Parts: sequence; C-alpha cells; structure tokens
Amino acid sequence: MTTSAEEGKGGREIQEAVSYAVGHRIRVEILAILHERSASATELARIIRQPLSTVTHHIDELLSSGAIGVERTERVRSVEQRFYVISPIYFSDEDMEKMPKEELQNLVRYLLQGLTVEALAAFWVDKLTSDPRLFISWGWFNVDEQGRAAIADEQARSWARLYEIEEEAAARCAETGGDPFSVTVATMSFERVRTAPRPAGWKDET
Amino acid sequence: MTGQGGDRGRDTPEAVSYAIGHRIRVEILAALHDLGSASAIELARVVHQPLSTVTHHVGELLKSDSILIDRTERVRSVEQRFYRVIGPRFTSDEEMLEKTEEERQETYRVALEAMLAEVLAGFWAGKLPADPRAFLCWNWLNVDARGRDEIADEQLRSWRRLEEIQAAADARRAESGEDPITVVVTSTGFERPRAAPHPPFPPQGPVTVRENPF
Repeated sequence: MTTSAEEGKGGREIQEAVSYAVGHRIRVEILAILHERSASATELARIIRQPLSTVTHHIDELLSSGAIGVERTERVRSVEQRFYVISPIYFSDEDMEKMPKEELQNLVRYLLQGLTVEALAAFWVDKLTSDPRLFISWGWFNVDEQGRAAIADEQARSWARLYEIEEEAAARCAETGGDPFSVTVATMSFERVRTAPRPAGWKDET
Repeated sequence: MTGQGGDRGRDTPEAVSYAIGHRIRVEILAALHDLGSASAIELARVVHQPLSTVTHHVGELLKSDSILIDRTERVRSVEQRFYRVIGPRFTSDEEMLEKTEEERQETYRVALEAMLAEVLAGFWAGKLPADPRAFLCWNWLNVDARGRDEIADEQLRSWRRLEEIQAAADARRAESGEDPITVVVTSTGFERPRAAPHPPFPPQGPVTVRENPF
C-alpha cells in the first residue's frame, strides 16, 4: 500500500501543515480519534464534547491542509454523512525506494503529526503525569559515521524488542483474561539542522 | 521548576501546542537549544527573519514560560536581553517523585516542547527525508502491567546504550580527527488516553524511513 499524497493537498505547505494541525487542542483531539478509526463529524463532536459547528470548522481546516481525508459517504437518516480518515501511510520497502521526494516528505509529515498528536492528547488528559513509567528522552549525540550507523542499528533492535514485549503480553492476557491497555511508543533519529556541542552535564531526561 | 512563574498567559498543555504551532517559534526554540542563550538580534540572524517578527514571537514564548530571560547586557548603550530555554536537563525518577503534581507537569511540558521543537525544526530544514538513516517510528502497543514495565526498562536500556555509542565515537574521533555528525534522538513511551485495539500501523511493520534514495 502506498500513501495517498495527492489527496486533499491544500493551500498550506506540507511543512507548515504539521505545525498548524497540532496547534489547536480540538484539532489534536480529532486527529487522536482518527488514529483509532474513521468517524463522522457527529461522532467526533460527541467524543470530544464540543459543538458540532466547532468540530465541523476544524475538520474543514484539517481537510484543506491535507491532514485528513474523506474515507466514504454514508446516508444516515436521509442525510449524507462523510466519514473522515487519516490518510493511510502503510507502505513497503519497495514502495519507499520508488517514492518521489514530495511523497516521502508527505510520509514524514504524517509520522510527525501522528506522534505529536498522540503526545499532546495524552498530556491534556494528564496521562503523562499519572503514568509512573512515563519516558520522555531527547538529546543529540555527536558521532562519526560508524557511530551514526550504530545508533540506527540500536534503534531498530530496540524497536523489534518492543513488539516482542507486546506479543508476550498478549499471550499472558489470553491466559489470564486480563485487559490490555495502550502505550504509545516512539523512537526517532535524524541529523540535526546545525551541528552543536552537547550541553555540559546533559545526560537524559526521563 | 517553573521559569519566571507568576503571570502566565496560557495553561500548561495549551502552551506546548502554542509554542510549536508556528514555524518561527519552533526555530527560535531549536536555536536556543544550541546557542545556549541569545539576544533577539542574534536569533533574527540565525532564523533569517526580521527583528520585529522575532521580537514578537520571543515575547509570546516568554509569556507562555517556554523561554526565560537569562540576563540583560548593555550593548552599545542599549540594554539587550538574552534569552534561554528552560531545559534540557536530566531528571531522575527519584527527583520526579519528590515533585508536586504541578512541577511534574511542568517538567514534562518542557521536555515535550523541546523534543517536538527539535523534530519539527529538523523536518523544516529538510533533514528528515534527507538523512538516509533517519529512523522515524511510532505506534501504540497493547500490553499488561508487566509489559508496561518492560517497555520502560527497554527504553532506558536503549538510551544508555546510546551514551556508550557516543563514548566509543569520541574515542575514535580523537584519533581520526573525523568531523562529528550531530544526530537528534528521541524516545518516548506514555499511556494512551483511550485503550484502542487497532494500532495505526501493522505489527511487525516498523514504519521507518531508511535507505531512501535522497
């Protein structure tokens, strides 16, 4: 599957669009719900407890900036209802290799938008302060080529380990009948805009 | 720690959204991460924007406690303010436990804001699609309490491994004289407001941007 980069690419520049999409609480909440499933404006308004007119306004803004798309239209009690969706971003490695630069840029945009939305949505409902195992670390590292490769390898290894943890937890839940809960995880690395020495005494932030 | 405290224009969560909601504010935050402290004039030069625009955004960031005044200096008979960000700094789990709820929220806000500013600044500079080894993954995992602990343990282990990679690279560079590459790394894990059965990405399908042709 490939991205649908062409859909709904509106007036706003792709890069500005991320900042715009996450710049308002209602937009963040709409996007967090659409991560879970597609939904109509009526459903979204009910879940986030906001007037339909307000939600519709933000939906239109998100549509025009290409952050979301229309999945399908359904007739509900003789009214046409649109169901919104975050443009799908599944793709294979082969797709990646053939991906034009603009589409790749769009893909990165959805990834960043997604992570930012998840973090802000959790922050707003105090999930961050109530989760005792919360982990927020960022920093920069100054390395040589070999070190750069080592960072990417370590991240890939750690990412695979997280899926193992989920599988093991699923097996335990299947045995005990326990209800799993959702933990959003994110791992990123990229070259920095400017090279810069690491601040003194800077280790990590938890 | 809450910066200057007092006259806060926005509540804490709104402030993050606001701070990263505009390109120039993001660039100011990222610039202060590496400059340490800087005046509006210096910031205007680094982010390539008119001084009046930068001064406006600096004022807004001050109001929402995203940055603070480091010091005031007299430069050619003009008082100049030098700004700095509140973070980054290391906070141990023990220190975290001693904090009040409000202080904890403030600590997380600073970390989140700084992290997102770095990521967005990298995106705007075209660094993310351009780095052939850029690693960009997120998803949610459905786990039990033990799995939750294991995720946090794994993230901490991996973060410590990065410090080892840094040390090994320092040793090699001391001999080879190779110029350093500055790599921004982020790692986050937090409980989701709503449990949701279907994560946005397929399991085992790490959504990575790697080995791309640009």
